[in-house]
Order: sequence, then C-alpha cells, then structure tokens
Amino acid sequence: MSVFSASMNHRSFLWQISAVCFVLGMVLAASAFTVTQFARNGVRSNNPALSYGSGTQVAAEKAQQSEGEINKLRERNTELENKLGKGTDAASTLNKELQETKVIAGLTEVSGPGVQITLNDNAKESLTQNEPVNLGNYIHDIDIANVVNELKVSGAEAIAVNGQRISAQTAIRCVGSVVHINFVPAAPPYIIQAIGSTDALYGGMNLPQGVLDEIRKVNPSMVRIDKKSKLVLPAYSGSTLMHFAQPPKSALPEKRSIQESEKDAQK
Amino acid sequence: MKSWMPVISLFSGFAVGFAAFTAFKWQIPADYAPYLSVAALAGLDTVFGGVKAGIEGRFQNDIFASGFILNTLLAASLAWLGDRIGVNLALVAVIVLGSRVFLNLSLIRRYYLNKHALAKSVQQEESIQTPLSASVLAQKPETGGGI
Repeated sequence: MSVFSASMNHRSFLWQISAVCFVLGMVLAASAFTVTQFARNGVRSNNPALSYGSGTQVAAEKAQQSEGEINKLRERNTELENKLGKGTDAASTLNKELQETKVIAGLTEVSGPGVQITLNDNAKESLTQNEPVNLGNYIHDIDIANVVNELKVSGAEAIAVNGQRISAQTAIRCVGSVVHINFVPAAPPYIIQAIGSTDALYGGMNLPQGVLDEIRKVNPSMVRIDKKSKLVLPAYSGSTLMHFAQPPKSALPEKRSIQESEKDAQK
Repeated sequence: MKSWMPVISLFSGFAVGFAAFTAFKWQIPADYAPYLSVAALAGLDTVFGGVKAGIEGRFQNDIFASGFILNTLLAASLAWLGDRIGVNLALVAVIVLGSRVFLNLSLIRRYYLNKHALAKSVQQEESIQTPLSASVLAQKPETGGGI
C-alpha cells in the first residue's frame, strides 16, 4: 500500500531528482560560500552601491601603505645625505645642520624624556535620551590643540598625538565627530606625547586655570598625565611639498645635478 | 530508504561544492552573488515541483530537466535585468518562487500524512480489502486548504 503506487512505473524520478539535487546542492554551496566570504572579508565590488564601506577601507589601507613608504624613503634620504656629507668638511658641516633642521621640522624619529597626557571622553556620561547632550563630556579638537600649544609654551621639543607627529604643517581639527590630526582620523583616548623637560612640561600642564582645568571639572579621570623617562616619537609622514612659499633668492642654493653631487661625494 | 536519496544527494552536493570552493579558492564577484542566490531558489522550487509531480505520478523527466536549467537561468537573468532597469525584480522572483516552494511542500506533506493515515487504517481493518491507494489518489487535496 503506497501512495507511490500510481507512479511505480516512474520510480526512476527519484534518481533524476537526486541528480538535480546534487547540482542544486553545489549551487547552494556556492551561494552560501560567497555570502560567508562577504560577511568575513567585507564586500569587494565594482558596484558603488555595494562598496562604499569597503572603498574607504581600501583607500585607508593604501594611504597607510603610502605613509610607510614615505617614512622609509625619508630614512633612506637621511642615509644618503650622511653618505654625501662624509666627503669634505664643508659637506659634513652642511649635513650636520641639515639633520638638525630635520629634527626641528619633525622629519626624523626622536626619542627622549617627557610627559604623556591621556585625554579620554567622560566614562560616567549617561546617554539617556531625555537629557541634552553635554558637550563637556567629550574631548574636542580645540582641547587637543590647546594642550599642544601649552606644551610648546612649556618647552616641548617634539610632540605627537596618537602617533601623529606635530609638525609645522600639522592641523588639529574636527571632521564631523572625529578629530583629524595631520588629516588622519584619531579616536579617544587621545595620547599626547611630548619630549622636553619632564618637570617643566608637567608643571605647565598643571597650571592653575590651565588648559586641563575645564576638563578636570567635568571628571578628573578624563585626564591622566604620566612622566616618562623615554618616549619615542615617530617622524612626520605628511606632505612637505611647497607650491607657493619661496625663500629669498639669496638663500637658494646653486643648481647642481645629482651626478655632480655624487662626484663630490666620491672625492 | 530510496525516498531519502534526494536529501542525501542535496547534502553531499552542498558538501562537495563547499569543499571545492574552499580548496580551490574560487571567488564569485559580489555583483553576481544576489543572482546566484535567486538561481538557487529557482532550483529549489523546481526540485520540490518535481517531487510533487513524482508523487502525483505526473513526473516527466524532460520537463523536469529543462525546467531546472531554464528556471534558474530565467530567475538569475530576471534579477539582473531588474538591476539594470532599476526595479527590484529579484524580489519578485523570490516572492513567486518562495510561495511556490511553500505550496509544493504543503502538498508533499499532505501526501505523506495521508500515507501514514492509510497505513494505520489498513492495520486496523485488515479484513477489508479495498484498493485504498486508488481512493486516496482520487481525492486530491485542495491547494488553497491552508499552506
């Protein structure tokens, strides 16, 4: 007694359905595999509607790679300058001055004693919908800029915020809700490292009515200052191209080709 | 159990396919992933339709095979066309195919439940010898009767 009795002659349909089921299983596997891949790696697509998120990710990765390359090239540059400077007394003096200037400009990694200031958003902040947002609960670009400024006043010789060296070209500003330093987004906690006289920097940060007072009034735990015996600050990796600013003609060097300089170095 | 064969081959196909994709690191471009999903759904619909037709004794292999290939291609190309002209035709395919899958599943379920009920009644009334299977097949379930 079977409901299949009418289809007994066509029992082979099970075989055929099984064969098709096998193919269907593979199609389903392909689909499932692709979807899990996307979930794991993010969607990489030519379709802009699908790929805004991954596009920025790719661009950020590229930017990071380029920054690493810039740093490497600048290190190589220093090496070559040192080699060139070995030739004559004049060249070595010039090179010495050049390297000192590069330290001032923030183009080389520097290390030394200093302080580390950690600024964080208020952890106690309550996010109920009825209360108005208290802007004092957040660290703003202006807070960081003020701290950097005060550090300079206190004699800091090199400053970095979240691994971004403060150079003459550095801007600290808000883009939307994110603080950008050297056009690189930074997130709290903001770690400001400064090399200089540890006591002078520490004192400068703790001046009455100083830059950190307002933040400490909201919640003292938003600010932490540590004295450090050794800090290592990275080199500035942003652009140093000048398109408009020109030194006076008297300050311009004579134009020489690279070959000539190399010949000089070999002498 | 012969009737479990399709299920077994579905799972083994899935396993083989997944293993192959993992082993050979095949990649399907993100743009085509939605079309593949719709195609898979169309294939699912065809298979359930085939099972239903087989139970009803109306299974025809040429219709089944051509239906499987053409339905998958049609569903995928319909979804593709929808993306080109800015109408979400993939959604249309999903709704139509999905409802058909549910309908076919409900019919298959009814046949199996009827089979069970029959087997029980046969046990109880062994003395009566009537061609029950014929009577069951005569009273086909109504399609609208609650999916």
